[in-house]
Amino acid sequence: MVSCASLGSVKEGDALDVVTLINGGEAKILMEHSRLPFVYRQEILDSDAQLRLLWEGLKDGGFVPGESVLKTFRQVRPGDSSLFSETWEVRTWFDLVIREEDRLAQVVTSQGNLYMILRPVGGRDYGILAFKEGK
Amino acid sequence: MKKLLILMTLLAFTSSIFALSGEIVYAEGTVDIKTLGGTLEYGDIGMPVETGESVITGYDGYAELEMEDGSTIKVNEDSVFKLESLNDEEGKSKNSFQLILGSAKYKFARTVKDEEPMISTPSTVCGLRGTEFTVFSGLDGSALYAVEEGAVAVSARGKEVRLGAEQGVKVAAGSQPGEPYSILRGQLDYSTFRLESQAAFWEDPAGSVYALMEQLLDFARKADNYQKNFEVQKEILGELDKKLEGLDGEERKDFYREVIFPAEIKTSGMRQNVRYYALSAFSMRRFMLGNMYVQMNTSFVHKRNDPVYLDFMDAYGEFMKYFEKRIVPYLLGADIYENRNES
Repeated sequence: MVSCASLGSVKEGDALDVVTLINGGEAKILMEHSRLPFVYRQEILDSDAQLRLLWEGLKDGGFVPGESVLKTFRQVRPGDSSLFSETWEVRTWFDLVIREEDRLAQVVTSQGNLYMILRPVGGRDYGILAFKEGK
Repeated sequence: MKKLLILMTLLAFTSSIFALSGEIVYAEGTVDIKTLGGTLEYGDIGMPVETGESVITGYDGYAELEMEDGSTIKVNEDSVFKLESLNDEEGKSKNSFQLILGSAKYKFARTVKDEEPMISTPSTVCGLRGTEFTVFSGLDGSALYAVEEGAVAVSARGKEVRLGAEQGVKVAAGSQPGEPYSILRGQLDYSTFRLESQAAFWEDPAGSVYALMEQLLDFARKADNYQKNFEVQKEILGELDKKLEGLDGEERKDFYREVIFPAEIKTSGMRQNVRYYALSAFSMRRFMLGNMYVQMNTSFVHKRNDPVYLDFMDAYGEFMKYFEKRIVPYLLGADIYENRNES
């Protein structure tokens, strides 16, 4: 796991902010927060066009998580890759991309669990590295 | 280990000798360069693009590349274009321009004829006999070639179709090229092709994955063949090295120059071809299958028990099974990610 000091930290509220943005259909802002390469469920997205497909697609698909409660917020562990996929690509992504300051959030919503990995960006902001909706 | 190092050095050496490099001379909107080391960098005017690197444009992106021989490549929005090289039996490198997804317009300098590059989409290959043409690669694996000047020969599934100026041909996913038809200069409408390709995908999402899978297996077979040849050639090289050890002076130098060095070039070329086909499969899987996956999972976010979704996911699982088994052994961690210039 790579360490990168003095980048600030992500907060629990950042995970809930992501849900608020999804609820509000704010695809453009979600794109701006997203960092490439980005894990969506089993896939690794490698272009802005793919991020747009994701966030616009969820909006067009009527995905509104609604009320949400943060269940887990902690440092990412090596075994967390299996929350997304068991493929070599996703395992490799976890090995190479994840840093000490990255956090895994599990949010419980009316649409089931949301998993996301967040990273501090520029001291105050956050980046979304991975996202998964589903039960 | 020493042998591996020599081969790795030679790989880099042969790439740099024969590879064609380019430079971004115009860019607007979102343009990223995926470098050889897996880094994703923002593409800007003046940035070099080397063999093994990809130009990825966003929905608002556009990039123009000028190659060192004067040829130009215009990469349109929402496209993935890759500069690659492939080696012949003697280890001589041939440039390969791969359009994975989206569209690109090529204009080749007259001087390129002696070293004509190979133009391809994941499912088609085009022999260059012309100077100016556009290639489209659709989400479902279909392709469209449109020639403005000169002539090209488009091949897919063992059939070749020759196109003259102001002619085009469509190649449906998993099919041979269709009949050539007239396209008036400036009248080509890419948006129609894009919509048709999207519609073809939605008509049969699982079928589109199976069509990609056939291409995946074709790439895997070629990578395996080159890997086998590489192993054999490595053994031959080992024998030649033993023979070299028994020689002295000028005889040794001559033997190295005339026998060993060409054999090393040939060997490294074979290894490079293994990577060429593995990376071709990887790009196809990343951008075509990846886009399909995102579209299906977002569109069916509330209908994950729908038979259309389930069929797609079954096909996706099959594809991934073959990908993991046949292609992943040839990939490196850096193909996924190495470092990113950001905080």
